[in-house]
Amino acid sequence: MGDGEFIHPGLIFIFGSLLLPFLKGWVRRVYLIVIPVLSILVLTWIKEGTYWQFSYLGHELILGRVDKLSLCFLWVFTIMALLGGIYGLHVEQIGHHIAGFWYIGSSLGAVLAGDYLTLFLFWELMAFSSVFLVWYRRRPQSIRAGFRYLLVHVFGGLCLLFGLVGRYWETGSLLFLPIPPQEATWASYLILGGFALNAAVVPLHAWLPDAYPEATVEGAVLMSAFTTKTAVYTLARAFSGYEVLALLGTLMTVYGVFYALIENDMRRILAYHIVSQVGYMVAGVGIGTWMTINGACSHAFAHIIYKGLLFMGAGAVLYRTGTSKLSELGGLWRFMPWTMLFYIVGAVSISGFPLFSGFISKNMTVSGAFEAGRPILGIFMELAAIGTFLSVGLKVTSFAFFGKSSKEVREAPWNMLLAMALASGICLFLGIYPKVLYDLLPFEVRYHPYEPEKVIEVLELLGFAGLVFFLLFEKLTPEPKINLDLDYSYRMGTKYFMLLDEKIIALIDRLWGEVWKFLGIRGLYGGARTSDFLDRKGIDGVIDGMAYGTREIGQRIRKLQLGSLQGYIALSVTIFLLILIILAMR
Amino acid sequence: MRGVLERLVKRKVFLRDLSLLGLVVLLLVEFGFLEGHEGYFFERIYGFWALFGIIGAFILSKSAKGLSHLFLSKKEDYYGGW
Repeated sequence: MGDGEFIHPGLIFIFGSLLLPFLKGWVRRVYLIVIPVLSILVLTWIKEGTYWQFSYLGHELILGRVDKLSLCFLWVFTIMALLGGIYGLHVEQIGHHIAGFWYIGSSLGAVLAGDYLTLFLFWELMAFSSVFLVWYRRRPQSIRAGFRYLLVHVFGGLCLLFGLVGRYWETGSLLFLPIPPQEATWASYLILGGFALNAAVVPLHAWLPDAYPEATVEGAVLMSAFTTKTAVYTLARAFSGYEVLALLGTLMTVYGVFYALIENDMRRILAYHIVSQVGYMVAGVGIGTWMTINGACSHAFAHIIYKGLLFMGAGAVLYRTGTSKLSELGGLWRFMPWTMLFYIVGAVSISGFPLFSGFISKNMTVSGAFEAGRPILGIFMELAAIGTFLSVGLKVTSFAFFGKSSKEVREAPWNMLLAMALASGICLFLGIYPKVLYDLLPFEVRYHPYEPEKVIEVLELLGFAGLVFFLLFEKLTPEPKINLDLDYSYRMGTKYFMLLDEKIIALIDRLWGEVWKFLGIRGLYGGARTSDFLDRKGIDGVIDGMAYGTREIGQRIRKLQLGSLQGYIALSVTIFLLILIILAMR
Repeated sequence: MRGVLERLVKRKVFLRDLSLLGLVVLLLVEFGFLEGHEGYFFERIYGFWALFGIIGAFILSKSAKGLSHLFLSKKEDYYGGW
């Protein structure tokens, strides 16, 4: 297949954004749908292969590596772009749409990149475009959260940059290929660190629950899909079989649900659940068997749709009520019944109930961990599944949609409901027909999700965990508070640094100014006076003295000069004779 | 849609009892599939996942809330402008 038969789906979004400022009204709304549809159509005829390969300064740049792994992510990214496009149709800010298009386009570009330079370019573009989806909320705390998000991602980008330079230094190649664990060097681990930061791997995760709840309603839907899953793709591509990922991924699954159980903000709860769910994927990649890598990819696919759906539901609540804090919500089933229904579809999907997408994807990774001889990791993943159901499934649903009524609001706008309905349909469709998803996975699938033992296991696990939730209902009531996480280090670090700057360093600066005024300026004047004295009395004295001396000697010599030639000759002969006599006497 | 939900909310006690009955049925059904089940030793213990669900939910909820109240939980303006 030649280059002419490939169209880069990411560039459809990036170049497509150039027309957006000139479109208005319904034309713009149609255009926001047409671009994702176009990218989906491109994927229907794209074939596996390597496209758009260029030589630049002696390096091979590959913009279009299409294989089963990249296709799996390309499909779900473009589907999510369409759902996100529909959900955000009402947004009037052109800049928001442009940032969204660049973000989606750069994510697709990163997935298609076959070399580290191309990957790095799209990687940074993702960070710099997505931050606008936070800033467009225009709240002071969003602006600050955006800057923190950007700073953390620039740090991750630098890790990646140093890693790829190191890798080039070691191997002479920048091709983005698998790195077996036994061949890993410091450069490989720097690259791994860069990827892990974007995947929100604990302890590099705090940027996610910090920034996503501060993003715009529509921006958070997009952000929930692309950044972390692009990172999962890159980890699956290069770092499968790394033990550190298996352990940290499993830690993530529990860490995320732990915080989700105590947080109050719906969107922060969902953000922590991204950490938890991405943990299954990272652990799957780390365990590194065909089954767990398939599990990671299928879970990324299912997760993008149901997590997008959950953020859509929470966003619709925020859009209508003006808050996403559970302590201020309640009884919304009366006013937003469709939103609640679609949210519940997302919640049962993420919890992994049979017939929904989470069941056919999450359990593939968990079963893969058991089959790979890692039962302890599998047990912790099951524990996280319990926490997921308790927090996203029961806690949010109970406190936002049921309980006491907060205030009367309208149902979400039609475009939000349509996007949620489509996402719900996909969750259900994948749960009932998993083969559609399994056929997209990088390796052959031999896993059968609907074996009776597995269905009973999941229903027992979640059913009895639900029983405990209702027993502890009062204890689990959300409180209007926040919980400390590792972002404490840089948030309070910045605060204390600024305090140090404003109080201590400024004080030292003022004191130094006084000391300088007292001692420095006086010293300077004293020095200048001494210098002036030395100049006048010392240097000038010597120079002038030499001049006076020369003039005096000249005056005296002048007296010896008679002005007659015979006189000079007589003097010369006399001196000559004196010298001869002295020499003769020796 | 709202009408359907209103009817369901009115029957919440019935729905709760139905759910509890469902859990009992699940445990009964498990008998039929336990025989010959392959896997780790704990997977062959009758009712293991039900027990794990109860203990896991209890430990997670209590530990999360406990640590939150101990030192994690702060006022919403804790970070101020940071």
